[in-house]
Amino acid sequence: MVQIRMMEGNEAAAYGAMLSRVQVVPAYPITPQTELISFIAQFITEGKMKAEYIKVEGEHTAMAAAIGASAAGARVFTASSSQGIVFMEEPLWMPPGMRLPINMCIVNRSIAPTGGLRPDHNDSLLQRDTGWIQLYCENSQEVMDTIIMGYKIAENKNIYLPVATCYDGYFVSATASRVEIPEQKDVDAFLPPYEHEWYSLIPGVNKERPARGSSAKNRYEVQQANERAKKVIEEVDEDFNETFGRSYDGMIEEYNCDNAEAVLMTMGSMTGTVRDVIDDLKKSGKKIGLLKLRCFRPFPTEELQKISKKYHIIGVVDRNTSTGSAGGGIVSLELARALYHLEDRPLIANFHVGLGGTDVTPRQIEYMAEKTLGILKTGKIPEPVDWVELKDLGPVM
Amino acid sequence: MIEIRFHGMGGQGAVLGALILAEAAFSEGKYAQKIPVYGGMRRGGDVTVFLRLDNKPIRRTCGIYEPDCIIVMDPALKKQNFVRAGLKKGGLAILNDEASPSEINLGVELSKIACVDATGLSMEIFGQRAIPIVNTPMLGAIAKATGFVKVESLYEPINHQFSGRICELNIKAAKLGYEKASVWEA
Repeated sequence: MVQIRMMEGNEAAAYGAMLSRVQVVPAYPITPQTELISFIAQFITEGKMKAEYIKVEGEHTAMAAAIGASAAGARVFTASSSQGIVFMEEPLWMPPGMRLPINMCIVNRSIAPTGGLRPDHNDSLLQRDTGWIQLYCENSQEVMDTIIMGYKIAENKNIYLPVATCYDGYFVSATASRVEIPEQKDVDAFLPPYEHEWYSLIPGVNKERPARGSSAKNRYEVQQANERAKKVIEEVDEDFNETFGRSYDGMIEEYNCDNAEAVLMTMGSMTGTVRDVIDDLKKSGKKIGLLKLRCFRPFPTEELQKISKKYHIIGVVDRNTSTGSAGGGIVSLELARALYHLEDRPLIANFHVGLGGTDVTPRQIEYMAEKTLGILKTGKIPEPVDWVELKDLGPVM
Repeated sequence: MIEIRFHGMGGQGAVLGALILAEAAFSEGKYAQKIPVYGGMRRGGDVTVFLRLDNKPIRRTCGIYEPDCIIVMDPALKKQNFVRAGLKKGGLAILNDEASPSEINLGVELSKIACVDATGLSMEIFGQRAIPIVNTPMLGAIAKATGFVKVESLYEPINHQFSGRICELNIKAAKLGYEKASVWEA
């Protein structure tokens, strides 16, 4: 029977890993990821989960062990945050090139020195060039479901790429909300056991392995796999919906966009609050909707090109900074590149909010919505990026 | 939607208390959402937890700046500005305090104030401890003063968190908190 109960994001992630029948978990604790791996350790101790938990001395080793286990043919899971991800950086580049379908949770947390324990997206976005697929979640249910889908995407024989399921520390990781826990037999039917078609380091089972080419050839293959992943992510979402009755609209969700001339584009936990604000603004006649960017890597260029024809302006809400960049946050830079060649392209407004894990408040969201609509009216963008937090918009914790 | 803000100090069980209340409300068919916020320091640092209850799914994932109700887990906290901040006129406050609720002034007209000496009850039930267990007595007081959940609905979520004698003692603490809370109404 499907169980329904209150669950924090970290526990939901641990359930996602358990239901996916993960076999090896090398991990090192770090706030706000700690509860996730402590739940996994508990599941293993209680005998509910049959997996090898490898205690490692740091995140660098966690990823190195994950690579070894995955190369040996195991379904592997790990997780980290912030400084842990940064420390993991060196081996983190290897799974895409080695085509290992490792899954990892990045429990988003800002990076030192200015950040605290709370989330922004710079830790995961720092990994944008590695070749990892990156999916961003809004709540506990989506975290659990995305991990299960993540393995199905990663282990597709046309993909073989690692997948990062990213979710905000505290606002998702420690936030308890209603979760449906799918039945194991349904997950088993959805996600068959893992077997790499051509890669194994186990002696005697070494299969036909593509010859090692140049760096350019390897990166080209990773790029091509990323391109193919776009379709696979959509298909897996449809399959998931058929089996479990929940869909996340693949790479991008358009929410309450009927008659919208403008949209706000978000990632992660702030999306729920934006839904409420958009509903209120719609009721008062404002022509604005929401684009939730669920998949940052591969960047859904073609879908955004199609979608953007409907809107005159996109207000990109960047919970990250790329200081000294060509102008604005990382998501807005990507979007600008994706839309540059279109003859009829929308304006792009850009906002920085929630940096270092400060709250993204309804009032800030109203401000961004009004400003985006205002820019549409005048056609003039006053600055490359608006640092919303530096405005006096009421209390922000 | 009812928006509740818990204020406590690390170790007092504000986070777990809010989760138990959320699960109790959930078991009664409501939607609930709990968001905790705390820093790196655990014991002794201030802890804020946001709790929302509603009859429909809760989507917003932000802090609560204008709570309908505040829960103050420590007598020293009621004078703090961040505890009183934004509390709605006509709202509710439940405090761990030896004082009579009619003596409590949080600087805004409230419809209901409840006090329970949760620290004293912790001493009575759990004995002397470095940090008293005040969350379960407070939950009993919340059930009595607010009616957000029935006191009986707290027992299963408590059982979910603790086992054996510790569970029994915490259920007893919730019951006593319910009985001993004194409620003032406008």
